[in-house]
Amino acid sequence: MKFSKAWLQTYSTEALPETSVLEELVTLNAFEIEEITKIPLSNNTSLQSGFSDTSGEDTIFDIKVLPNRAHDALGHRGVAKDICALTGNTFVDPHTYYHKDGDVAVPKPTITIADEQVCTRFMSVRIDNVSITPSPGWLKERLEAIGQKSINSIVDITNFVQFSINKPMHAYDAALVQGNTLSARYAKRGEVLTTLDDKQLTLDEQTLVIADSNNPLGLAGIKGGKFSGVSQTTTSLILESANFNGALIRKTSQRYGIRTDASKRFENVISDSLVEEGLRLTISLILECNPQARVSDIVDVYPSPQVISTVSVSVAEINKVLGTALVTHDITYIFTKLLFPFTVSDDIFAITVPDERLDIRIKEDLIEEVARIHSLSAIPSVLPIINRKGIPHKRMYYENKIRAVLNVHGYSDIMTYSFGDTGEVEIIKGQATDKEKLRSTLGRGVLQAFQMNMLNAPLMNLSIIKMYEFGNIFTNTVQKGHEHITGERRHFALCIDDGKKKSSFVDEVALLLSDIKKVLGVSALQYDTVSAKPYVIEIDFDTVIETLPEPTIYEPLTQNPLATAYQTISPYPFISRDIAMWVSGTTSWESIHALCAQVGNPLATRIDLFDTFSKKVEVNTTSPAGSAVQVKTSYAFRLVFQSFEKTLTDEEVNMMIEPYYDVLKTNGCEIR
Amino acid sequence: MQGHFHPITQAIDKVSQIFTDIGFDVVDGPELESEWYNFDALNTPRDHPSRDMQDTFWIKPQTLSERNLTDAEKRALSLHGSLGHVLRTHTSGVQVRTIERWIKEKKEFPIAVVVPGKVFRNEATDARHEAQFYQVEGLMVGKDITLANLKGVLEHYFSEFLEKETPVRFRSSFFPFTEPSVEVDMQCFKCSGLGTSADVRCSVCSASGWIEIMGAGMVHPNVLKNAGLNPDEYQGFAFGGGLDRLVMLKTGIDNIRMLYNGDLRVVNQF
Repeated sequence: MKFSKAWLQTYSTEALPETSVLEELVTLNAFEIEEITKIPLSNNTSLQSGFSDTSGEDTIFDIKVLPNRAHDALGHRGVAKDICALTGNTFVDPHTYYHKDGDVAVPKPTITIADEQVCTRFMSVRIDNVSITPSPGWLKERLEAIGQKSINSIVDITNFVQFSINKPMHAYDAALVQGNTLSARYAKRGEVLTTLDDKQLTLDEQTLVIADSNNPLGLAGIKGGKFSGVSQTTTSLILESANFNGALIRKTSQRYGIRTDASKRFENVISDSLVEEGLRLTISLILECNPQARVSDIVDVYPSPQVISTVSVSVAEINKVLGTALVTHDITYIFTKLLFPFTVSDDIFAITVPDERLDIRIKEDLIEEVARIHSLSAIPSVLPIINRKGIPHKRMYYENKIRAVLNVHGYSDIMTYSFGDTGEVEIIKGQATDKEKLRSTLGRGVLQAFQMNMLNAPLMNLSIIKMYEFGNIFTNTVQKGHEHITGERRHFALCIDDGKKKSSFVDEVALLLSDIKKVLGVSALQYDTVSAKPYVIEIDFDTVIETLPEPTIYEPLTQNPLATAYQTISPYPFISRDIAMWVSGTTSWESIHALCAQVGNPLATRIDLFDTFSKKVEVNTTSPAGSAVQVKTSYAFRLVFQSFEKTLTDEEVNMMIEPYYDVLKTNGCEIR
Repeated sequence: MQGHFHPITQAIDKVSQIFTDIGFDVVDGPELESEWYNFDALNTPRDHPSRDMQDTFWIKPQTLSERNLTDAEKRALSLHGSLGHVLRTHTSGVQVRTIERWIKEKKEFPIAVVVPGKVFRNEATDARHEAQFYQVEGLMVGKDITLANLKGVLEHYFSEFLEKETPVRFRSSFFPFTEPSVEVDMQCFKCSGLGTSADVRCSVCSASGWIEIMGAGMVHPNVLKNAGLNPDEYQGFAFGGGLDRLVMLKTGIDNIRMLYNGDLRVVNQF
């Protein structure tokens, strides 16, 4: 939610600290600030706040209010209270809460609650003789500062109350409410409601509505209806200030796909005390804009008043959890700054929890308040001493043993996705229809990876792709006595191939498997052949290690893990060109490589020798000695071109290859 | 020619080395987890907004076969009439499974474990977000384990992992399963916390000097209770954070998705 600094300022006697200081305090000890922006500030607002900001700017904090503080801090008052506790400023509530006897000439509304479990308090009042005017400048500016559109003074006032004290309010046009009655009841099957934004909803019997004596007027706690709202012709209002069960509002809002500022607040649960504050504040503000208005008696249906909560915590308990050495005096200061009423005896603090702080119910909640108001930076750092070495995880331990063998045999370790388009266990709603099944084998992902890696083989100068994956697979077959749930198993798959038709790697893998058996100390290793070409086998690893002993000490797999600095990979395809040539027998590959490097083409990402052989040749000379025998060497190598900016064309690469021919020819190479 | 170990494998190896060395066992749990261990037991009730904090992959119940429930799962099922299953959204479910096992096997306290494991989130993917990734969970529970101990363990962890003295700072936060809860920032290893130096803004930490790296806190009494411990007697800390991010920070890998498509152009660099 967005918070205006000028608005927050209205709750503090002293000036708030400058923004950077405030940002640091709030970030560390209260809320995450997602963004800070500055907007121009008009005179209206600076007059209201009492602190004219000479910069002529307001600062807007976009604050992420998490569920525990959604009870109080989705409103400026709650955040301001916290800020004052952190800065030492004096908190003051600038609002006027209407407290007068009603005008008996104005008929008070009738309120009924059908189910007091889901509507815990409902207050209302009727206000006659109002006119619907544009909002005064200060009100417009407040709302616009936090991204709300100004509509008219009545709607704006209800919004202002919501964003001030976290209490959603609703105003009805009294002329459109039949029977001067509001009731919180479940909808009748088939009742239809048109929302403010013209959506037609057919209601079900689990939906709580606010209705007049005949028809539903709105979705309780979520959204008002189209036909009972305030319009330019409205002269008389009925105000709704109610509180609803959080879970019910959440379920209803999910069912209809409607989330609003109001539903967000109710589903997070707010205090019944806000029902009263919200109504009284709304009446005061309406009277401010409509001094001529006449207000009925206030109606309050409150079947089971909220019980005042008290929580106790001792200084010793606080220090025992935090690892601090705070004293009574520190704690006294903190609870005083938080405006938590308390008594203290024998170093035990008994706190009367402010109504709106529903997040404070157990002593740990108070300890958190102490930790953050005292400052989380002040928590010391103490490494606990445990007099034993940790035990490795059995599965990971034996996996590592196999990884080490695979590594020696030249296999690389890959990870692929757990989701796919085939499998037995399904996700209700995945990221795409081809990702809604959980893999029941690793082989498929490994095969896909093989295809990609074979294509990229020249980029890595590989002629054979060797790789393996350890991962969990999911089936709906029950595996008895296994710690994991239905059919989740650890598998291990390996893949080897060179992409050539006639090659076979069965013998090579048999050797590898025998090394794995040796290192595990097992006599047999069952595997499935997933694919003959490329050669992929898969092993149920959980079964393999079932009878192996529990490990006791961790054995590191790597000596210097993650020591490499990663070279980013071009998203564009590469093109390769092979060059074969004769050189005199004494010319080394290194010198040829150096000649190629001289060309200095940055797009030549690799220069790899893939074939070399030598032969003796007779050289005819004109000398009297006649012919002589010389050694000639053939080098065949591959140049790989790739750009980070674009896809290279064949023509471009043909051009790029010319300088290589030139430099090689100049240096006596005979291109074949 | 030798093969190569996946960067995540190397990171898990490193984490395991660091933590077994200071007395933490390495444990794991199922990736396909019940609603009880992933949410309910972690003080994240049904129909509560705190469940929205993680985008969840729910499993179609009809595609799962019958299985043996733990006692706690049986209680949850009879209380609510249903027990859903999810791809675990965090490794935190292993907290409760570990405490249960500790009690059952009458093991000596404190409990001290780390859980490097795969987790899943149903959210849009980009260079920094992936539907599957790795977390490292830590749990230490005894009679006198403090928030200060959490700071000590994390500073040790990051300093060892990054091979550089790395202070951490706590920021106020909320998780249903910890109280107090904190976000953990580690000092930026690149600029050593300076943020901006000689007018150059540090690109790793966006010049803030700190890197947001995990959530943590003191285990909520309800979680201890749900796992079978008396919270008046036992207390401890838990932490959980993405391993991929640490790997990316340490190595410079610039796209998390490159870790999970089996691409040897990535793996073979390590």
